[in-house]
Amino acid sequence: MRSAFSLRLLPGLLPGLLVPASLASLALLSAGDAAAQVPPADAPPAVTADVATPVTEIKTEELATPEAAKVRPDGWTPGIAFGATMNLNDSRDVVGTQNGTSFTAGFLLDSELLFNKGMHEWRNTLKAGAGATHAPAIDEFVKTNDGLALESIYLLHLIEVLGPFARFAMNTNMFPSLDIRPAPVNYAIAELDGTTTTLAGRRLDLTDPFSPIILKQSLGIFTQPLNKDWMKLEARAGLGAQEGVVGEDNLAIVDDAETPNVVETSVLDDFFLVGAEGVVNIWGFFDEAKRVSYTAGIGVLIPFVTNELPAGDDRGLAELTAVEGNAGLNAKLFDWASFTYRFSAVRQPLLVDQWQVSNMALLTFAAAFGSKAPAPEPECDCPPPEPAAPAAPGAGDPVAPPADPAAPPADAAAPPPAPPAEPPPPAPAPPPAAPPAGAP
Amino acid sequence: MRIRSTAFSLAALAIAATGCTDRLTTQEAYTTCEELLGRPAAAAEDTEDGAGDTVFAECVACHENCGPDCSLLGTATPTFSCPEEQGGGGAGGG
Repeated sequence: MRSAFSLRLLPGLLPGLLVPASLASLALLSAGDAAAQVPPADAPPAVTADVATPVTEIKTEELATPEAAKVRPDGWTPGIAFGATMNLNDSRDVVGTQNGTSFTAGFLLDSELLFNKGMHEWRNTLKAGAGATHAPAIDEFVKTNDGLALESIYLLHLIEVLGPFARFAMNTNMFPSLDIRPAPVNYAIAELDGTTTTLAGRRLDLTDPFSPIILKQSLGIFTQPLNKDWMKLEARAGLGAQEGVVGEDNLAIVDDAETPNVVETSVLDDFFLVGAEGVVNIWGFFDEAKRVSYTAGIGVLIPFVTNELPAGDDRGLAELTAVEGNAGLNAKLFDWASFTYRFSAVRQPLLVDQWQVSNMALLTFAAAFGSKAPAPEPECDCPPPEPAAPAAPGAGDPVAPPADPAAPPADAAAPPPAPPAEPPPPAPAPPPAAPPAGAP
Repeated sequence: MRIRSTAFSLAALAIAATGCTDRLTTQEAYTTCEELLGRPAAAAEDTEDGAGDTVFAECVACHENCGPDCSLLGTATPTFSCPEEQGGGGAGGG
């Protein structure tokens, strides 16, 4: 059904095929001024000018409102959100607790660079996240999540809600991955030539850094029929391609629950597929205060052509359909903290014939630098504080005798830290102006 | 403070994620043990007691845990030991 739909749209791809890749499309920007489109409106614009007015002078109510102009403002719009999480626990002879140190750390980067001018919309997003944990049971760090996603999509708004698009995207891992277990297990590794290698161990090397790299290209037409704060809807259809580049002897766990004594793995191989692609993304806010945003999307790529399958692999094109779904929620809990949840389900049968499902919840704290840092505010109209007194004897010198315990610590000579002049910058929630980079 | 804690967690993560450890992976341990013992791992059915190639398994476990610091002790019946285990005389276990 999806394939037929996309095929019907193929003639509509011609304008899209004439549009060069998104980077080169900037050359069109100057030419686009004359045919500049109005920013997407929250509601279908009502024509207020007389019908006899020349087309170029037709104004709409929406155009006249600054509110509408903010929806897709002209120029560059950068945005970046950065979060990190850390947890440390150390227990020694605590009743009911295992001895040892547990440590968890992770980070999340969410950035975008949007460009709008007239009918041209160019969205660039870069997202990265990784996490590792160390537990007493396995006395080393284990990677818990890892991802790097880059997307660049150019949309030509021939009419505001419809036009051709070109997209490039890349997904990969940043760090090497191992299957680390507390005790040895038997790994059965399915090689590309059909043979099986058996290894017994507890630290199986799976993938190299930046492997596999999944590249995606799409050309087609898009529509944005809904552009409200509570929901923005974008659907795309056209020709899609995916290529997977895998490091040598990289493995994926494809464990069979029916063989508890063996952990099945398979060697990954490069792949490509070209086919009809359909994508639907929605994003918006749950509340008027815009503290809770969401994203969701699904993409399907039904292949026409794929790489040659290994001997004995008789899967049909329908079984090789690539599917990606994702959902996300971001809640700004405080001005300085937000909660992020992401769900992703990916099926790339040419890479590994199983669903790759991930869930991630992250409490994000704001980080502000330079001019973005909150400026300190004097607590009162007091005179400026005197320079801090010299360090008390012994301070910083563990051998020296301690200072008079009755004396205040050296730091006490300095005034207490003043509260910030204004509330810290809001937690950088993923801007909902564009669908997530990981969106299909 | 936020910057410092963020930098710390990032540094720890980078060190951890880049595999900054001397421990060998299972594949590396197999290669090392094949060189040390001069033979590949014997299949379980090829061993006298059917329990598998315990010497090779000890070698792999030791190198997975201690990396190149793993020591080969004895020649008639090879045993393997991590530096911190040599006092205890235990072989590198899983």
